[in-house]
Amino acid sequence: MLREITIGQYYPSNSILHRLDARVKIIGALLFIVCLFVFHNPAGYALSTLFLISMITVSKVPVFYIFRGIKPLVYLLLLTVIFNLFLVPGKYIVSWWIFHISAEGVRMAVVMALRLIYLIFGTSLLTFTTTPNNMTDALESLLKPLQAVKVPVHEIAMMMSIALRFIPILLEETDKIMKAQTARGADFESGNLIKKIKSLIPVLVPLFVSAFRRANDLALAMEARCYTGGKGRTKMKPLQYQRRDYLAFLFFCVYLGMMILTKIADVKIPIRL
Amino acid sequence: MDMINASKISYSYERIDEEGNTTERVAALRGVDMQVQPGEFIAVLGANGSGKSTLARQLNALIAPTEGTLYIDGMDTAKEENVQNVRRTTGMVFQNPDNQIIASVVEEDVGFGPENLGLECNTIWERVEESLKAVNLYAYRKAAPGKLSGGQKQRVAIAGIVAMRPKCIVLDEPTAMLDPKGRREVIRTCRALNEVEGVTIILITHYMEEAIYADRIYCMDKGQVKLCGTPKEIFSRPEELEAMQLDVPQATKLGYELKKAGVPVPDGILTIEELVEALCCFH
Ligand SMILES: Nc1ncnc2c1ncn2[C@@H]1O[C@H](COP(=O)(O)OP(=O)(O)OP(=O)(O)O)[C@@H](O)[C@H]1O
Ligand SMILES: [Mg+2]
Repeated sequence: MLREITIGQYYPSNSILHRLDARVKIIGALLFIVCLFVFHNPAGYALSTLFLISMITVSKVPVFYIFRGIKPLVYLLLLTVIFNLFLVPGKYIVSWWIFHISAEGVRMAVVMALRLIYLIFGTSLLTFTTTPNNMTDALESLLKPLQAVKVPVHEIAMMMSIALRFIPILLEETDKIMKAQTARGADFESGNLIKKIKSLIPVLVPLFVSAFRRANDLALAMEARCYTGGKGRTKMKPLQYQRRDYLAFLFFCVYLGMMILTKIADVKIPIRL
Repeated sequence: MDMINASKISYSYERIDEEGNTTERVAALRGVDMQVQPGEFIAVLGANGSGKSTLARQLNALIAPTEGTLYIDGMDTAKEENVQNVRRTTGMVFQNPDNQIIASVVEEDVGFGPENLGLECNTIWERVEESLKAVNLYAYRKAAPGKLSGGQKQRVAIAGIVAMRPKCIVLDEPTAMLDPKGRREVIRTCRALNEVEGVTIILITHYMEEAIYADRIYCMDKGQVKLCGTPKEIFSRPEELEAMQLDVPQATKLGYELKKAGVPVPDGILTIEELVEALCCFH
């Protein structure tokens, strides 16, 4: 059951989006999200939609994969819609008992849902097209300026990549321990929430013991291989911008420019809902 | 110059309580002498807790002797400034293959050591390819380590060390968690590195059958080296080995029993082939 959890789901393909430098993709995703929240006018949303659709098409990731990303957040989405629908004051169009729905509320609910869904789409497109290793490398490179203020950027990136390597191992181990405890009569299924949480203690204790032992072994192995931190270390796969990466940056600039234009145009032609 | 020159090294682990006082001392090594020439293949045998892993960690300067001196390729491991150079000279392969593979792609893991050495990108790639070919895993360079068999994982770990071009490789029970096939793969890799590349190999093992290929064997017991000699010399003394809770290879045991029963077979037979030959000669 635990094997189903996949972290940083990656969809292998050879599209142009997959081949882009991960740093470009991270910056692009950030730009997309910021635009989504800054430029809230109909033309802006239309442009965002266009951008998203073209990116999904280029990425060659099947659309249902992208829609699946909403599943874990469906309750959050519903909650947002309901709150906006009923709690935003304005001119009521529907009233029943204590429930009132205003035109403003409908508008807000639609806008918020749209924003959330686009946010999920944008970020999952990033993880679908970028391997976890590339992601950590790119984050290390992008956050490098923070080293000036004593943020241990290399160490954080190393921790992330080690975590990615050990998550499957630890999940497998959890599975094994649970089976072993079940064979000894442990019951993880029945009872109320508190009982269920309590029943996890015999799993967590051996898991932690083993994780610490592994950490100790790994630290020794890294030291034996001359690891002394980020200083004096070179990269086997250094990140280097290619021509396509510069083109992508140019494309993002155009996108941002058009977004700003929609804002300016919107002031002159107020669109009534 | 000796590859390894240990004279009378001792080491004890200290257990420290919350106030920082030493509550307990476990003497893991008591006056170990060891001289190894470049290019030798050494096997180290010993029961559980006899101090083999402690010795291995000394050779890699992960710990320094509390008494005595240890020189690796002429460098004193007790000196702080030598530590990194000692680790470049002797590589270390550990028992559990999962806990020593750092990256999520085989080639990236092999490149981890060379990256730490600060080598240039091209050199790193050359070395990665070379060492993956040396352990016969070049076809798996893009694979995820988790998807490999135990023997393959352990060979990835060996490749990761080979890529740093050490003069000496210390393997601490590299085969303990492997099936017979994986064990054969790893031992074959070690012998090839020793014979073809001339790398000094220190193989710590529980399997007597793996020790018969060594040039010399060290037998450890309670933190001391009790016996040292060629496999023939060592395995012709089964009673002394038994006192250290060690076994002899099966063929040797059979030869020894036959001899006791009056069949004239020579001492120190190591392989089944040798035993067959001796018995055929006798007929
Ligand atoms: N980290 C430690 N802290 C305290 N004592 C230790 C530690 N590691 C080992 N020892 C003790 O030192 C002695 C030698 O241990 P060592 O691990 O070197 O033996 P070994 O020959 O490698 O055994 P094995 O065959 O089980 O691997 C043992 O008595 C052990 O209990
Ligand atoms: Mg040991």
